Amino acid sequence: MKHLTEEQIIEYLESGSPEDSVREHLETCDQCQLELKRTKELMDTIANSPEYNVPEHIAENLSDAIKQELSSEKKLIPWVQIAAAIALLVVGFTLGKWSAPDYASEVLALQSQVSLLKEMQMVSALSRPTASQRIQAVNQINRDSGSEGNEMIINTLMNTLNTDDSPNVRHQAAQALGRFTDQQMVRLSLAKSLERQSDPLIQIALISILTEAQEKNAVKPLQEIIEREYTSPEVKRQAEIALKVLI
Amino acid sequence: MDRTSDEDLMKSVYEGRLDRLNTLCQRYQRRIFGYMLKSTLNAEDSADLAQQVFIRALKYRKSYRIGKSFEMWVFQIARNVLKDYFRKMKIHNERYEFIDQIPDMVDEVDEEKLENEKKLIRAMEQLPEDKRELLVLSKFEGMKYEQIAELRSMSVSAVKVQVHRTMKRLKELYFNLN
Repeated sequence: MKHLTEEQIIEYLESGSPEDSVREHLETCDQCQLELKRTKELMDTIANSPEYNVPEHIAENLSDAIKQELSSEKKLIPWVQIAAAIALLVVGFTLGKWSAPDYASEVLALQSQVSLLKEMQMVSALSRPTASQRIQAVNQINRDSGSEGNEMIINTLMNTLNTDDSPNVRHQAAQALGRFTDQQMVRLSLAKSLERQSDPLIQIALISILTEAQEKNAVKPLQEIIEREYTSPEVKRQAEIALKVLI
Repeated sequence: MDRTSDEDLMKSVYEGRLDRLNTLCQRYQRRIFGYMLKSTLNAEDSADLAQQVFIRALKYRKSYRIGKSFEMWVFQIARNVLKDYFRKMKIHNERYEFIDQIPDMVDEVDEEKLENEKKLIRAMEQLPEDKRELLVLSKFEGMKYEQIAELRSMSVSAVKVQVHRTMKRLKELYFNLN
């Protein structure tokens, strides 16, 4: 007769009641008895496998992550408020314009408030937690702000250029500021910023912006960059070209 | 003790009561950690992997279908975390070292039981990863063949055949270690 399959053995052990043919075979077959004994021993070992202590930090770290998630959701509320304020202003503005004959000065005041709120929204967007969100915010500013650029926007971009953790965000801020180089204040601040930057990507971006703007105040920081030991060779090359143009 | 069902708890997590995931973690962390431990045979990594499972559950809470079994959902996440881990291990060609660092046990066990456990682990080490994971679900986690079939998108009969074959192979390995 054919020997028992592993499936028959396991089913026998799990159900506890063998079919007649299985029982009959077992009575006469030493080999299958041994297999049955071994499978039982293995299954007992598995069933008696000790329980291990679960490291506490699993639950602790999850609890921290939940708190973080909740607080980041709360931070979104000011956004909602700003959006609601803008919506209200727009509705008020439209209604007012529609119902009243002409209140030019009030309309102007409302318009300036709307644009102020918009600027505030753009500025607060730069404090979002991830670099890609901040890059988006910089791009948004770049799109929405007029070509003259007001002080608050420029200061915020400058602050981002000098302090943001992510080189990509800083690079984007440098590009956005490049549009305002007709203002002397912007050119001076960019030249100053060049002294502080160490990332080659930003250095090269600033060098090309300042060269294009023909900013003589960039000469000193450029010379410093060339003299610095740790400046990357490509940046040095760009700085040398820039110096030739500027001097 | 909170008697709310897993599914109701997860429904409120889905709806924004994120703190209720802590209760689900308390209920499932032992099983998820055990699943990782027996599948990877690496204590240190298992703690990280179990944690990743709950963090993913938090992050992807909106992928939970209200009313569906939480157990199946969380084990699906656990399987994905484990698959990613095995993939990375293959890339770095790393080996597992379990025997040297058996983690703390809840109860003290006698010498014989400990020896059997070590032998079992050494035998399990020699199984292919996916077969080992299958056996962990079936024999250590006590999942029904139907549940495993759903998790693995396989037929119930195919799961049964694989579990029996793997048990047979494990038996050979286990008794050859003597």
